Parts: sequence; C-alpha cells; structure tokens
Amino acid sequence: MGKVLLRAEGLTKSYSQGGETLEILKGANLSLSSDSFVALQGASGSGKSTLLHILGLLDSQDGGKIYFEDQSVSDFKDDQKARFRLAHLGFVFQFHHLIPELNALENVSLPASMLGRDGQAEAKELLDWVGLKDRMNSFPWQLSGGEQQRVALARSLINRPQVLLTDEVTGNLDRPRSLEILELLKRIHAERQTAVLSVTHDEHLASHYKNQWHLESGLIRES
Amino acid sequence: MNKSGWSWWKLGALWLLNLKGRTPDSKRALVGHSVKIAWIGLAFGLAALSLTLAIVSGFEHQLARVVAETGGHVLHQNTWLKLEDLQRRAALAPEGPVRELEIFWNTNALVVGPKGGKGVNLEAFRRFDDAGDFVAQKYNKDGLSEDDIKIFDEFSSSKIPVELGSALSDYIGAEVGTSIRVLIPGVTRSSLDLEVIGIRKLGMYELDSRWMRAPEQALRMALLAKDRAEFEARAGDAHGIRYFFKDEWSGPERKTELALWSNRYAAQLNSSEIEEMHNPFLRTWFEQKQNLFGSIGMDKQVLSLVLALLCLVSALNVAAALVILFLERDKEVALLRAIGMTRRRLLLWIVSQGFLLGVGSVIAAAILSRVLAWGLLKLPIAQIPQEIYNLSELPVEFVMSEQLWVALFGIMASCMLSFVVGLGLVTSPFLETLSHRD
Repeated sequence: MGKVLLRAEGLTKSYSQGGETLEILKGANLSLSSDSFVALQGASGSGKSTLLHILGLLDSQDGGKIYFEDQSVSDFKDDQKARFRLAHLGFVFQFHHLIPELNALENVSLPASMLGRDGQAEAKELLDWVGLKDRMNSFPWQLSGGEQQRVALARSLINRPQVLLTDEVTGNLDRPRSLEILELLKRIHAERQTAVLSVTHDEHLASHYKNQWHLESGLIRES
Repeated sequence: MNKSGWSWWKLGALWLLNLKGRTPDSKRALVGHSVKIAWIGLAFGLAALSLTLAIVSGFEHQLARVVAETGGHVLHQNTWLKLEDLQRRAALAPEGPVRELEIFWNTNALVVGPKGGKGVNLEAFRRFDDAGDFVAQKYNKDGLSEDDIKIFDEFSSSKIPVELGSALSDYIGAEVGTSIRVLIPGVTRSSLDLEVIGIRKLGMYELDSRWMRAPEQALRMALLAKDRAEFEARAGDAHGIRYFFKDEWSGPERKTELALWSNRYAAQLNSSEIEEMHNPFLRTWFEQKQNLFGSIGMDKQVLSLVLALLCLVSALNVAAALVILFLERDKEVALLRAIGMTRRRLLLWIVSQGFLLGVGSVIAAAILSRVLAWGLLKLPIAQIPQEIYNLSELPVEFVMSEQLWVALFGIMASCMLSFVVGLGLVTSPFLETLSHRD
C-alpha cells in the first residue's frame, strides 16, 4: 500500500431544507493513498459531490477532521485552504469552466502563474500528453466537449498535485469520449503517481477503477 | 514583473476589453460595451475636470501676468518721497529673483485724441536693470542723472513719448504716431503734447481703458521747461518702487514664496530708521488684486468640487459595470477560487482591473481635454467678450500639479470603487456556481 495522503475521520455534514435537517454525512471515514484509483458512487443526492468538496477543502464539514500527510488541514483559514488546494490538489468538474478569453495553453498554465511560475513549457507538455498538441492555440469555444475536458484535466495537473479529485467529468460526454477521459485518468494515476478520486454515477466506468467506494446513508463502504 | 504576473494583467485586460475574436459570446460583448461606456464616461468626466481647471488656471495666470507686469510683482508704495529716500529703500531689498525695478508716480489726467477725450491714470516711470543700478545713480537738483540728461534732453522742447492701453487708444482714436494732448491738473496749468509710441493690450478692460504711461525723465524735463515753480512745489519725486520678477513668479503657485520675499523686505524696512516717518505698504501682485484672485480661486474650488462629484458618479458607473462584468464571469471566478486563488489575491486582481480602468480613463481624459482645448482655441465655439477681457482666445493652461491631482483622483476613485466591488465578490459563496453549466 502506498503512502497515505488524504485521510478523513468522522466527517459529518447536514443541510436544512424546508424546515427539515438532512444529514448527508454521518461520520464518514476514508483514506486515500498514493496508489489509490477510486470511483466514488452513490445514489443521486447521497452526498458524493459534497464529500468531494469537503475533501478538497472547497466546503466545510460540520464535524470530523481531514488530514493531509498526517497534518490536519480542515481547520485551515480560507486563504490557507486556497493555497493548499493550489499546491496539492487537482480538480476537474463536470462543467470544465475554462476561461473563454484564454486559449488552451493559457488556460492550462493559469494555475502555475498563481504559484508565481511560468508554466508555459509544462503546459505545452501536458497538452501534448492529453493529445491536444495541435489545439494549443485554440480557444475553448473552438474545442469539442471532450477536448475541453482534456484541457481541464491538463490544467488540473499543471501544479503536479498529489491528489486529483474529479466530479462527474464524463457526465456530459458520450461513451467513446468518456472512455478516452477514463484512459487519461488511468495514465495520470499510473505515470504521474497521482491518487485519483472520481465521483461518477456510471457503473460501467466505475468498474474500470481499482477501487469502488459507495456512499450510503452518510457512510463510506468500500467494495 | 515576471511572466506569470503579466498573465494576470493580461487576463484582466482581456475581460475589460472583451476583444473580438477572443469570445463569440454576444452577451459578453454587451457586458464589454457597458464597461467601455462606463470607462468613456469616466474619461469624459475627468476631461471636463481637467479642462475646467486648465481654463480657470489660464485666466488666473493671464490676469496674474497682467497685474504683475503693470503693477509689479511687489509694489512698494509711499507718499511722495525724494529720489535719495527711494534709493535707500531699494538698497534694503533682499537678494532674489528681481529682474528689474522701476520708480513711479501717477496722477489723474485728461487726455484728448482725434476722436475725443477721456479721464485717465497717467503714470510716469523710470526703469532700472536692478536695484544696484538704481542705488548707484547720482542725481542733480532737478532729479536727473547725467545719462538722463543725455537721453531725454530733446523732450524739454518736443513731444513726450507715451504708451496707451488698447481700449483707451480705441476710445480717443489714437494709433502709434498720433499726437495727443494731456492736461495734468495740480501738476501743470497748461497742456502737454505727447506722441503715441506704443499701444498695449493688458487683458483687463478696466486697466486698458485708463492706462497711459510715459518716461518720467521726459515728462520731468517737459514740466520743468513749462512750469518749473509749479513742478518743484511737489512734495517729492516719486510714489514708490515696483519690483519685477521673472515671468514664472506670476503664477499662483509662487505667491507664497513671493509673499515671503515681500515679508523679508518689509522686515528690513521696518527695522530701518528710515521707515519711522513714512510707513510703506508692500503688496504682491496677488494682494494688489486680492478680491479678483480670491473670487477666481473660489470659482475654481466650486467648479472642481462639482466636477469631482460628476467624476465620482462616472466612477460609480465603472463600479456598476465591473459588477456586471464579474457577475457574467461568475463561473470563471468560482473556478479560479476553487483551484486556489486566495481572497486577497482575487481582491487585488479586481482592484488591479479598477486601476487599469482608472489609468485608461486618465490617459483618455488627458488626450480628450487637450483636443477639446484645441477645439476651444481654434473653433469659434467659445468666444469670450473681448471688450471685457481683451483676450483673443481662451487662456488655457494645463498646470502639471493640478493635472496630476485630477489623474490621481480618477485612479483612486476607480481603484476604491473596484475594491468595494471586490469585497462583495470575495465574500460571496462560489461553490454552488461550479455545479451549473455555462
């Protein structure tokens, strides 16, 4: 087993809705190591995305702790969390949210510039790596849905994250494009030694992951 | 700035400019237009402020030059004094940027020209290169130096050269070379013949319509020749001294320094026993027309305040446009925050866009105000009553310090309002936005 990177203990989260309190997470525990390649599944509304956001420090939990390499990160202040995300985590969302005024190369190198680096050379390599060598100067609106998602993947890797969190990245793609993205995720995990946790509702895609976690009744069940 | 820093400036500029070819989104194009319109509004507001200040400053400088050139940068006036007394006072003048000085006396007179007569203020003057030149002069019992006698001897029997204000010359129908006649009650009982050798536009009607001056030595020789007993009955030779400084000392920005020079001079005079009997008054050009310059200053302040408020309204439009801009780009902003842009950085970035807009507006305003000034000078759209101001064109003068304040105001207003917009943006939740499609 690889080195434990991300660990959560006793995560709880609830929402108020129509005067009722919905308990989404009821003390969920999980551990993500460098060799993890996990598909997180669950029924619609079960809290998969909420859990992913909490793990990515985009949202806060009501209770429980999150550790990164044994350091508690859940008590970080907002700006600390932002710097942590930038340096250690990669995100890909269902909707790529590329910046339309920037071309593919500029979009990919943007997170690097947040760290004060000029990521142009690395961005070129990454775009080449995801198969978009010839589309570097294309603007997002000139790319297909699959190509846009690949640019988003390249962008998430520019700061060499140890953990990649993806949220329904294939939700808007057809089967062949979805499989292409899945292959890329596999390569990211294998070649870049990046832990991958993907939220997906697609059983077939989930079956290609090394591990499948299910979020049921606010708890994680591994299968 | 490293290359990564530039990419943020570039992204900010791209969002502000919304260049064609960078996005095909028509909604964004509309947002881009609203930013440009707000930007242009601020530029026009700042241009109006800049130009108004330039015009008022132009008037202020023009009038200051006229007052200083005719009344002296510092006027030292007494009751009648002998030439020796004036020399002792001039010797006390502090070192400084004095260009020339003149001693003078003036009196009411009646002048008659080809078209008619008019009551005027006749001034007799002697000009010297500096205080030392005046102090070193030796005068005979008639108050004339050897040089004076050589130069002005002919005027004891011929016409006295005289300069007239332009409005006065128009009124009496005199031109250069015209012979006119003057009667000086209390100085001579008979009239004197004069020849107009120059006509001056002083830029102020009340001065131009009564202004007339002649070399004191020529007038003295003529008056001595005509009626020696009456002339010698006067209590002294002159009323005072005018000190002329270099031109740049006429501007309002130098009036404090000039007042200091004047105060030093007053202190020297007061500490000297020669002033015990004759209290002088000293006035700088500003003090000579204090009411006029005071009202111009007040006009300038009130106009600046009104136009600054106008600029503030324009800056609010810029802030409103930025709100629309960021609302339209909420998903991109949410993504930037999700991947690790800190609140502080986001705030700085938004303020930097406000700064860019402010700088852009200031540059546009600087160009616009100069183009408008050119238009006002060249095109017949801003005629000013020449008979009052005696100016052929608007005296527009862009004063660097004032223009810098306008620029600073524009940039600060834009930055501060974008800061307020930014504060609202960085404290708003962003996660929800990421779950929605573009």
